[in-house]
Amino acid sequence: MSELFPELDAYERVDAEAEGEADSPRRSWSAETRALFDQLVGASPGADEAGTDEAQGEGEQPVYEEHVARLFGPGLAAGAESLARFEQAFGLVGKIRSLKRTEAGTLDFVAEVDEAGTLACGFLGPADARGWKQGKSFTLGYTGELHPVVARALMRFLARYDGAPFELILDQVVPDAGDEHMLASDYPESLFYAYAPASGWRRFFEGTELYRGTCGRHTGKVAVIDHTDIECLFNQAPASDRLPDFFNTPAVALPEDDHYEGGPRPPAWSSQALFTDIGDVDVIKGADVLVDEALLHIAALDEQPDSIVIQAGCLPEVTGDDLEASAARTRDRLRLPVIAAGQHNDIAGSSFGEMIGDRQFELERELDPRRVTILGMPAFVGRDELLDLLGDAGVRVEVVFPEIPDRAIDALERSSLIVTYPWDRYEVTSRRLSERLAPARTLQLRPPFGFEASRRWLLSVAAALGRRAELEARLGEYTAQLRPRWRLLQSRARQLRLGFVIEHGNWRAALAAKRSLGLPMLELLSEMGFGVDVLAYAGDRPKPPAAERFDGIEVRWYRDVDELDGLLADPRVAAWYSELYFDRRLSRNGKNVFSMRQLNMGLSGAIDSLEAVLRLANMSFYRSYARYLGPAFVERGRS
Amino acid sequence: MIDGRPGPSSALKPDEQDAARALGLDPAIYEPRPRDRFGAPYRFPYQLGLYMGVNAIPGCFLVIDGPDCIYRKAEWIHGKHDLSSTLLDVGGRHRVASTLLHSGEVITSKGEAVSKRLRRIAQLPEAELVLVNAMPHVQIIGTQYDALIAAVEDELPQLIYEVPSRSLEADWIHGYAELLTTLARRLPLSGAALDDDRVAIIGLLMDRVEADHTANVAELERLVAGLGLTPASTWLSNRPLAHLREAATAKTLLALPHGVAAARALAARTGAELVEVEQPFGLRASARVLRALAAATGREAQAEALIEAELAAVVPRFEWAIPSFLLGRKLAFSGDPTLFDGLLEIAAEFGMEVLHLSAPCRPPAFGLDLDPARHGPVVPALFAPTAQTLARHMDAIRCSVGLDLVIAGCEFPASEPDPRDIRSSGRMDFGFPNFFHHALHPSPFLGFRGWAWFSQEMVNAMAKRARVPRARPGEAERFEHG
Repeated sequence: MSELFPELDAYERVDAEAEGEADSPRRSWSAETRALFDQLVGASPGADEAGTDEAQGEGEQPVYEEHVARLFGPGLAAGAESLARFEQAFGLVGKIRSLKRTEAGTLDFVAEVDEAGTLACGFLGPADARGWKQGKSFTLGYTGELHPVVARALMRFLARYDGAPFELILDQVVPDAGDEHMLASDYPESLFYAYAPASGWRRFFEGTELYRGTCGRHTGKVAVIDHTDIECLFNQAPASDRLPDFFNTPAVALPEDDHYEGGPRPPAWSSQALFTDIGDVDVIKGADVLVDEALLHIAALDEQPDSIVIQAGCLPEVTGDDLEASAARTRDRLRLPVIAAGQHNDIAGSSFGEMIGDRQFELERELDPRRVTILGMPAFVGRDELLDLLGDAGVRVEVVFPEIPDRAIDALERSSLIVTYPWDRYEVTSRRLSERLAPARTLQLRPPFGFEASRRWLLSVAAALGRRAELEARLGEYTAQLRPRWRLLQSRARQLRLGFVIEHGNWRAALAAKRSLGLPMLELLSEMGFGVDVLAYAGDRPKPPAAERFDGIEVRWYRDVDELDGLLADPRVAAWYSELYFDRRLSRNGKNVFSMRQLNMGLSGAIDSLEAVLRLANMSFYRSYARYLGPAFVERGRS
Repeated sequence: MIDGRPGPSSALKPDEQDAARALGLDPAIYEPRPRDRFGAPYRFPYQLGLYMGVNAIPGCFLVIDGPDCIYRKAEWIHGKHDLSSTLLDVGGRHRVASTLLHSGEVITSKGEAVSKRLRRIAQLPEAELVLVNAMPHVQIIGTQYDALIAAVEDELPQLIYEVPSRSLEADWIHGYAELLTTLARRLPLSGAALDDDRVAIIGLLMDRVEADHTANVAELERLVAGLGLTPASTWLSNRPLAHLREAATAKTLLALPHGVAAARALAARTGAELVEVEQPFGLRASARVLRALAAATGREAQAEALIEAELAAVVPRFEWAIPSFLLGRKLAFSGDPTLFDGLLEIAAEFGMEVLHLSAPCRPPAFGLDLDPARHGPVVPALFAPTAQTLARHMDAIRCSVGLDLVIAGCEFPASEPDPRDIRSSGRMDFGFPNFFHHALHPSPFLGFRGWAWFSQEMVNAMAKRARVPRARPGEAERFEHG
């Protein structure tokens, strides 16, 4: 160990010790299972596993790198038959996970390049496009690092088909029956960014919507002018953990005032939300005058906000309303920051980005040795407990992203420690921010789900700030009260199996923590004691891959809707995972549905989660009455 | 009308001021406040009316030229207001479909995405009827949907119609009526002769397909059958296209307020006789509707016998409930404005006072009377106010005259009952949207049985609640400030 960073050494010891503890669940798992969990959580050697056996050069590659997000990007996806031909052409038989003709006129593919399921991306583009290598009629390229397997595949394709007109190559991307009318802007993996995809029957995960409800918002005194029409304003029904939602979004801890109980939602900030309500006459006369009026309205308020954000819907974008001009006209008069954010999916994030864009964080600035800022950690139920426990140990803690607290910039500036959270939505933002916040140290920790991971996360943060002893003192009695209940529930869970259905072959990527808002589901369920079945799609492969076992986890393969329907009915599996609330494929198969909605953070959260999943797994309504509910799959019998 | 915007329409007319005073209300509470400008609208958009209509026609799909947000919007109905809705689908075969057309793509769009969506829907065996509409930012560029539809309709098996895009000028009530009118103008007629005994009910506002609205359908059809007539088709009734087309065989069209324009359009095509009626909401209104239908079909005697039998069946149950639970109660009602007149009559029969009427829409073209000659002093109704205006208005009534019961949907800005607060009003969730009260067992609110259900719900909402007293002089301001 180096003597340079005693706090970091302390942090590393937490992991090394945890690994050696008698009741650590990791001790009971095989090396293969531990390696799988590390891979799914994206743990890299030298961080969480420093000092452990796995750190001796055996760390697995993370399975969900940023470029893999292209799996979830838009494009016309090749159907099974067309995909098989491209796999032959690239020499990647059974290895291509996604091959799409994009709106930009390229042919993108994502391939599994090793047995561990590591993904890499390559593409073909027009001859005049920039790329890695130029052919006569097309260009070869890649995204991220060039993997030798992808390089070989591209060169093989070049050797075989160079000179063939590129349009002709693109025309070979033939979708599955039913997908021939897909738009090039469709995301075939999404239920809302594609329409009736041929693969919809096997989609239990949602690639584009799940973050909503955990997404960013200002919690300071910010007035938001929503410059749009009423259709746009009603683009989303109120969400609440007390109401069904089409997607099983994770349960988020909201202030009591934010729970929807009817009526217009009060703004999350203590100031104003304004709606310009563009009508037909406004479109004709010019609707930007409404923004000016709204700004003047704010100027006349008794209680002034600290800043104003102007966001826009599609209509003013098309009519060309000049929000920036409105903001400029009013800034001096209001003497407030007026940010014309326009149309953006993450208004809070983008306006915060503008606020700190030019901010200099001096290297010599004074850091608070007990202050930590956590970046990108969604407000899962249970997060507050973790923050409170750190507070009890004398740690000053703030979370920035998805929320933007009004003291965010001050917290970032003064923190001596930055903890990043493994969720792809804020990965790039967190990395860039961390780099600007030097000399504050940055840690990426295993996410705090489950009893042991929560404990380790707490100890790691406290140790890095020199507060380990204080935290241990606080945790001792706290965990002693919780542990007997946890063990009792674990013994019940060991009698039950849960299941996942993966729509493609790369089941590891689907179950990676970064995709699931940082939640390491397989590891958490295994720690709880459940057995887990994973059903992965084998496509048209004549011979599906062999089944795999990782202690209590069993990976099997299915090829069509009839086979899946049969496997879902397996009486050994008490509940299947689905990110879709109204999942008739499961309820009408007599099965219960579990999701991230039941899974909370932290120590008490671990117990609450286990209780919730056990209750759900034991519910008998669907088992008893499924036959009265109707057909599970409308697609059955057509495969 | 008050909506926070300054203008002559905001002020109460002298007779409205007199009505407010007669009910013990201060006319000043109706004055617009500049601070309510830019507030959240208590008004639902046009396309939600289309969604409701599509939801209530199995096999009907709606393509909206616009971005992905139209799916999330469907949740105002699917799963939240309506647990029986099939608008969205876990397999992605949603009955509303977006073209994903964002603002940046609008200028170059020629509607190709609409054609692709129509072709995909055409492959779904459950699809029978497809409607096309556009979001406002697409609407303003004037895409020729009729031409797009004409280019594909010969090769696709479904009926495909454009519903006019009027989101910038109209709201959900108009959207629903416009959908019915489109069908009335466009559905192919069988050419079969009109049947004297067959009646089509046009304009039932089926905002969800749960057992409140399916029970409304059953109740109205039962009453039609009670006159010896055959209910041929009910628009809308959670029944498919084939059922809707049966309306063309009906000699008589019973036009409810939301279906008057549609019924007129259909009658003009088929030659059917039109009977335009009010909402059959309450005993008196239900009886009037029956008498109007009977007069048009020569069944007056049967109508009188039927009305007598219906009253004899439901009225006795309320003999003792009214004085204890309902008499003297002061209520607020917010919702479909075509129910206002029936509500006033129901309240008057029970000795209740209606101190607030509001609607999350603009005034409807049909089905609203509010004539003082019929009802006595009528509280001035608020149409599409801002939520802030409404909240302030409700607080003023609650703190002065007092309110025992608020009947409204869940977007109505009024607090939940607080047992510790003597001035807190009871709450009866009713209308659209209604996320917290579902009808999983038949519970109509139209017709005679509907009156019984509605009145029973008021009784149960009031049974445990003490009466809210009028504030003494000087108290109102104190209550308002907490």
